[in-house]
Amino acid sequence: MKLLLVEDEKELASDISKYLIEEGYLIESASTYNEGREKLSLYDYDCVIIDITLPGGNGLDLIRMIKEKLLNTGIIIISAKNSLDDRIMGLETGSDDYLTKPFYLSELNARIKSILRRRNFSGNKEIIIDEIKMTLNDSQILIYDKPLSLTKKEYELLLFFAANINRVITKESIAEHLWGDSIDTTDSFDFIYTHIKNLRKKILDLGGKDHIQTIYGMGYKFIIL
Amino acid sequence: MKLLTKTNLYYTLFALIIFIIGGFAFFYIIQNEIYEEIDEALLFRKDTIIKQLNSGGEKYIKELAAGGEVSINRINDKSGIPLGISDTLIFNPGEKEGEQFRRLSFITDINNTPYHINILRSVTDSDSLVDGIAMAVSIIFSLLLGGGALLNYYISKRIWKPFYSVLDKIKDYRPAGEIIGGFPASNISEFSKLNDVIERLVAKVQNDFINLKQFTENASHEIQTPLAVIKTKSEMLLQREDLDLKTLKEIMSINETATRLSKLNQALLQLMKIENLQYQESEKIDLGRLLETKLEKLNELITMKNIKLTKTINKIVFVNMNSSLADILLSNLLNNSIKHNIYGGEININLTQDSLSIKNTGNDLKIRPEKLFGRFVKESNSHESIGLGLSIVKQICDNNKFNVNYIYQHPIHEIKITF
Repeated sequence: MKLLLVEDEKELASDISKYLIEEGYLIESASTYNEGREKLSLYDYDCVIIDITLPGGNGLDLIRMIKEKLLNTGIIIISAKNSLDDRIMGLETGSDDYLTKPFYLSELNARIKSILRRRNFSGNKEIIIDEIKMTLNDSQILIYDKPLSLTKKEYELLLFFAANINRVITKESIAEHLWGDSIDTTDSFDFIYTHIKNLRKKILDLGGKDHIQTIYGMGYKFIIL
Repeated sequence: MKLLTKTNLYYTLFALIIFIIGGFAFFYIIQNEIYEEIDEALLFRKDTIIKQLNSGGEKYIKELAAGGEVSINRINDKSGIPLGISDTLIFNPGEKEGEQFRRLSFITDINNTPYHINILRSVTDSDSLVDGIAMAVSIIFSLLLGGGALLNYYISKRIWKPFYSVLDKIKDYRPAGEIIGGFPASNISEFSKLNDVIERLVAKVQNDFINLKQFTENASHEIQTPLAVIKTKSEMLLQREDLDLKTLKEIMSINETATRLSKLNQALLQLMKIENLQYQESEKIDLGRLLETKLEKLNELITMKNIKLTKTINKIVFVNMNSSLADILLSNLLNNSIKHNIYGGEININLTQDSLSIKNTGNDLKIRPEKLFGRFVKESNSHESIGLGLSIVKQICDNNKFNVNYIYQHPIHEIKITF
């Protein structure tokens, strides 16, 4: 999978790249509008991560350019602007997702994976982690071929973990992923704890492995045993 | 009090004083003139009487005295008799009051016999003179008053028109609102100067406001990027397996603080945008439906906190407002009612044609209720709460001219919005 990151803030770009490289992607970076334009005209990418405010031009124009090429490219906008109008404008140009800065890398990672899955029409939309097999079309999960029944939130949580295997995921990022802004974080930690407890139990009950590690005071880590 | 009324009041007071003084002066001058005339006539009469008596002798005495105007008495002693012109009052039995007369008293010898002669002449009654003068003065005075009022009306209607139209325009002026200008031209130099000054002032205010708005917005956005760097860096550090738990926790705390700062920044920006009326387009909002959608999304949180939700939602409540603001308003109110609720508490929502009331159980309020809508007011010491939610609610209500009230009756907190 080949990704292009168009972001003018060098530090941010380098961290995003590092995180995504570890996920196994090929990443190219562009730090100006013209650089991004050049790369987009020369190569094809599976997914493009674009900042709107760029030196030398507007990221939205780059998105229009991708759309003109009629490529099956996933587009994520990362922007400091979070008003509804900005979001609508971003999505109207044809981007798949809009992420407001600052964001969690685990969140960006999960969203990239989700877009890539949606874009990948030919491939089977399956995630296989050890004994867990998730078919995304019908939201079915099998553990050693036995069906696992999860609530909506537990399913979302498992998917979020699956996107960030072997990563420390903070409780805050889980809370934001599951509920957005509409929750007091103190409350959410209890809820997350409950959800994780249930998820872990359901997997163990079907003979699955204990994948979810608790990192005390910080968060969780989904590991492959 | 209007400027014109005020100046007019002073003019009237001044006129009143002038008229009173003038009235008295008028009275004395006229009285003086009359006396002089009478005295002249009396002296003339004296001369004719003396001439007649000298030529005709005593036979005229009776004839003269018959008119009642002249009295002639024979005297023996000349002393003790007041001579000359004086005022006198003579009782008039017909009118039952004294009538004022001017009397000339003199002594003359007729055939070597001294006679005391009095000539009387009625003076125009000073009372009726005063009456007449007072009447004239008050007629002039009321003409002046009435004329003044008419003139006032005319002046304020015509001459002050540009002033009032400028006043009307700037009365509701808000830099965030629509731009004003195009004041009516006036040929009165004060007004045209006022127009100039106001026009320049408004342009400056407008300009400063736009600059400030842009600066705040830019600053707020620019802050998000460095915050993103802090967050990403700390998140990367959290992945490091060579760091001990203590260090990781410190890093975690950096990450959380950056998140809080960014949320605070966003909330302030939002509040500023609402204050600056940047959410203009309004549409008919189906409040009942919006409320149901919001509740559905929050359903999980309500269930997890074991909160009992009761609601009476009128299905046909429409308000005209901006859709983003309606969304923010309901989100903030509902989130608050869950956030500040207790485990196993209650939420009661009541939407009627003219009001929305959200009641929830919760801990006692630690701050004064009237401070609740202020900025950075937090009910808990929780680091998570930014303390801007209700200020935003208040601002949205203010913008839409809704009334928002907080009522606390232990242990129920109620926020009521009247449309």
